Amino acid sequence: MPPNASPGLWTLAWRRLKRDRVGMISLAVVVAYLCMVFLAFGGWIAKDWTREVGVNYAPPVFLPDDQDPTAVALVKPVAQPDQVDLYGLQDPLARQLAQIRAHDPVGAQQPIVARRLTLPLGGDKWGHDVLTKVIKGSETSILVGLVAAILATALGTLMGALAGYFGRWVDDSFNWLYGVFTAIPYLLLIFAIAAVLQQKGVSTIILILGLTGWTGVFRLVRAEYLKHKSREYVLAAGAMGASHARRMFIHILPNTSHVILVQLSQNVVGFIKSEVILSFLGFGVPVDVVSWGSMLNEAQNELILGKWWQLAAAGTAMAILVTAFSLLTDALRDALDPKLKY
Amino acid sequence: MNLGAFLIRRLWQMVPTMLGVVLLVFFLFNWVGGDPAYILAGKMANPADIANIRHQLGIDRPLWEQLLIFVRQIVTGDFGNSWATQEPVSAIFRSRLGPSLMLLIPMMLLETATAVAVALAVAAWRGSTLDRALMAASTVMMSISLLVYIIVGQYVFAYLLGWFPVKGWSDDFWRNLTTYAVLPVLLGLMVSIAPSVRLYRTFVLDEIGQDYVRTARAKGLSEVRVLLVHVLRNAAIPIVTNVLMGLPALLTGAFLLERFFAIPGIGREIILAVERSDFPIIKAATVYVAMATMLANLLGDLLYHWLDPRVHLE
Amino acid sequence: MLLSVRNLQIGFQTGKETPFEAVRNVSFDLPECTTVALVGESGSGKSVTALSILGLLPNRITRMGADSRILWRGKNLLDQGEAELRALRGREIAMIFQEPMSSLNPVFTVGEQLMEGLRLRLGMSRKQARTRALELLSEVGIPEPGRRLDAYPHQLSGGQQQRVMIAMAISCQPSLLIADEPTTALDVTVQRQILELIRSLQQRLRMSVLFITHDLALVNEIASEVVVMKDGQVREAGSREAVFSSPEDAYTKALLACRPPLGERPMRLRVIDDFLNGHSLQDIPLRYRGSDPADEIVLEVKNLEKGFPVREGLWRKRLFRAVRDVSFQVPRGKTVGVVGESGSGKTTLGLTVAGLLQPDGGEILFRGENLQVARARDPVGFRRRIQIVFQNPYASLNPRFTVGHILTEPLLLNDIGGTAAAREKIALELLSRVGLPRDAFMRYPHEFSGGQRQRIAIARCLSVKPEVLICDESVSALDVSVQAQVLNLLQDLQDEYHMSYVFISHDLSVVRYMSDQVLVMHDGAVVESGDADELFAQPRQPYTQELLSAVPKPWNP
Repeated sequence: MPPNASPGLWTLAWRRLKRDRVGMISLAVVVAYLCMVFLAFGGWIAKDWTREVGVNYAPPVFLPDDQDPTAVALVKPVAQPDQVDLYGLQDPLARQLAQIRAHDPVGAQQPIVARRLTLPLGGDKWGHDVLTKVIKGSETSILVGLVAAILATALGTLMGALAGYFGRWVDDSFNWLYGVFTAIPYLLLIFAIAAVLQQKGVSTIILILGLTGWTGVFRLVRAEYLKHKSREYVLAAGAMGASHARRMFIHILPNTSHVILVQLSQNVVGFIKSEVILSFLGFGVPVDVVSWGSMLNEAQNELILGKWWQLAAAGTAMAILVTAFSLLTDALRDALDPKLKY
Repeated sequence: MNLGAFLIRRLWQMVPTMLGVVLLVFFLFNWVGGDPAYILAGKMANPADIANIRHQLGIDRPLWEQLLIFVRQIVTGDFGNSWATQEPVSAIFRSRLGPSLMLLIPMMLLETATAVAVALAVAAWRGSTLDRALMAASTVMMSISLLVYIIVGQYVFAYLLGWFPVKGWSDDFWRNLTTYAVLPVLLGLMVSIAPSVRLYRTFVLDEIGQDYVRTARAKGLSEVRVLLVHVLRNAAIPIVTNVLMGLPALLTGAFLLERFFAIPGIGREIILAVERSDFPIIKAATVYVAMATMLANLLGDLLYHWLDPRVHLE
Repeated sequence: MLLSVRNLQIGFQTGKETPFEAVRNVSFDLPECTTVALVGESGSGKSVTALSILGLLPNRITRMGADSRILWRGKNLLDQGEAELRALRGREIAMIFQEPMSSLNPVFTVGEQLMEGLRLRLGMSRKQARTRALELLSEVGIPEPGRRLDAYPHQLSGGQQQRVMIAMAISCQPSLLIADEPTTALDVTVQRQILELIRSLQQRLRMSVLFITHDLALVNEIASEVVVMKDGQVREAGSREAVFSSPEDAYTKALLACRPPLGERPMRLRVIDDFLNGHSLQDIPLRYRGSDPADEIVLEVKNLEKGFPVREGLWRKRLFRAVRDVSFQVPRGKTVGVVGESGSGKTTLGLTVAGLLQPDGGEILFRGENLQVARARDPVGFRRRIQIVFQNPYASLNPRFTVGHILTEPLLLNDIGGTAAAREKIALELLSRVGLPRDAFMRYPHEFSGGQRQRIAIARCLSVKPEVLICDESVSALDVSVQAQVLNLLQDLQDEYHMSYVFISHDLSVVRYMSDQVLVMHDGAVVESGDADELFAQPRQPYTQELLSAVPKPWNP
């Protein structure tokens, strides 16, 4: 056997990507974010974001100020206000608050805490460290975007493949479903589902985004399958006796993989943006979870007071990731384009 | 085929899709959502109240009867009263449509005009520094959350600089258009312009690569004429369809603007309804916006056929 | 001298790599009122040369040689600014292209496009321009010019579209018309008409024509001077007589010899290598082809029908009958040629016989057994009996598979070979049988040329040992020199394995060369059929006669 196996299309695409400087920098940024998410998810970093380590609205360290950055203030924690009992109603959040307190013995039970006057990226209303908060928020937002995108892309690919390949009534029924889901504007559909589903949670929002976001992938994958199923190489495979499943998934699927990959990364960006909006409006992650959206929600009121650092931190963290992801998508599209041969 | 027959067939084709939308909404609210009586009855419900409410809403009847009630509501346009304010749903929508349109229409016109102009310019100088710089800028612009645009824009231009009112709305058309709507429209533009420019640029570039452009150049036409007559007339086909089909998306983009600037439009009403679990409003909004979307798509199709002589109405 | 090209050197720079040299040191002259043909296969640089004359190459990536000159009436066009060049385009030098459909702007009417040049370049009023446009349309032989003026390009046939392009080109009475493969996309009968039109216009308007083509036979019909190009260089230049009767360059000789002759049928076609390596060029023995009553019939097609639904009106669907009542027999080891113009249904016939489309009516009998029934009974066994080689060598191989994978997959699917090692051995044997090196096994299709890919596709078919091979325009996308090699391979394989061929092509001389029997198809039906030699010598039907008379005549001193 000749030992010099020649590079396949994936290897060639990787070589093209490596030559694209912007693409490689974007890739590095995305990988760095993913590592951060992984570490935060595993609990190695930013675990104790709920600790109130600074004074209320502690400014960032780099802000020109006459305060000594290492100075600490001794603050007596604000006494928990007694539960106001009205009409015999329970505070609907009481249980969650209790849970938070139970998980966070440091913040709630220590009588007197040494609190820093400044924090690396500032502090929020309660003195949480914005830096750890951003890391934890990134974890939530990116995880939601990533998992939902994988779900939506898998759904869209499967449905698009079936519809495009088999045509006829299979195509008609999937197209009908596509028509129904695209007739309702995306955000409105998500709102409607969020209104109906009373329980909030990270998995709920992943499901909502994943089950509604498949339409774009479906349309493109279906078009690819329509195109490829009458290509000569697929016809030839049919003439050789390859089964439908073999033609669909072994012959055609790898040839549409560039479309799917680009769609996947576009979906990640889109879903991160959607999650941020949903959480901002309070329809997304629950109150005991921090995400970029919930941070922006808090930051909105802080800005009026001139405390801009939480907004800047969350906004920048998101902008950098999304920029890198979009540039990476463009680079991937160029590198994977089968029209470019070398 | 003539226009009438085309319209009839397309409207006929919409029926199953519309049915699907109705079923989806019904399925969501009557099956996934659980029993709305508990939401409506509030926190201090007793079983008798709940049974009473269930009877009023008709959800103690079999599912198919409930579906029938829902369909009747859609056809007659009478979705009953809002659970939160007891106002009739139809009245709410009638009064909220005006402000929404006052945001949408200027936004659409401004966006299309600016985006087409910029796209033509960057396509004419494709590959140049200008092109690359604008494309890089648009990527960054698209990456900033629209929430940041709105929060910062409102803070800087309205709160700090005082160029515009922070929020509000009046009963006077001109006052709304010239004072209250300006900042929201401009912020909306900031958000939507970058993706449009990128998309239209690819449309224009697709056309520039066509053989007929080479023919036009070989005829000795000036580059300006080639671009503004031959290329633009062809690129207009996808652009116009795209603008029309993007209308519903623009509508949802206006949701947040309306909320932040306290503009009494449909978007703000929907967000309020979701916050208050005001089901009749959400149901009505979903169904009617879906209808509007489908009509916008039909209009887009018609324009497409009108603009492109190659496509026959079929 | 109207136009002199001197030391033309054109490179294309993409990225940071060294520029790709498309044209190297090309020089030729174009006198007034003459037709010069620029002949070459794909990649010869002939179109790039033509576009450079008008300055239509993309500025950003084009690198011109320092001492390159394009002299138009003594003035170097490469020194001219964009404004001067634009004044020349359309007025002095006009151009028509290969694809008339895409070369016309689809959203403007024929009249608007014709009048645009007249009004902007000649300053005519709207009314004058319209009158002149009508004259031009009748001049290029478009029937009912008044009605066609308001038609959109897609409402015209391909031939009429090219006539409109020509009308547009001559509208400002240029001194030079550059015609870049103007008839390649057209059917042979239409090609003949367009050729006649260009020839008559050249004489009537006393202009020069630079005729760019890959087809030497066309050159013989239209040009008085010939320039032969290969790989960006001029291989030979001279008068038509000189180039055709006593070619000096080996490549020109090969080009002249590798087209199948219409009159006789040598055992094999001569290929470029024969000339370049100076192989002995003594006469090759002739081959006899024709039907024999003793032939064993492998495949029989009876009253085959295949249609596609077309929407008509509001709800109705009409069946477009692509194949109508077609019957023929394929004997073992022989070739049935199917010839027809575009839209004649020949490809649909091929796909249906190959089992890739379901017939609407009629029967396909394989050794007397209905193929549909047989396939249902034994899908694996019958699938492979009939294989097909397609036209487009770039689409017929899966780009994500190695050649080895492509060749062993059918073996695996059809349970041939048993072990992976045995399958690999078979695949390597197939590779050497179709003339490809062993190391092709580990490589991907994109590394091969069109002719090599077609060899791989043939090897893939051979792997399942088919009895009938359908060749659907299998050599049409290839350069003539490569075409000859693949045709030789197909003949060798037929001699060796006694396969039957159904050879589908629009190219009459290729079909005649390859076939024992020929079917002439038109509008889905068989117009005429018979033994190849007989049918081509004495066509009985008017359609066949028209088709045959349209074939470009070879050089005949």
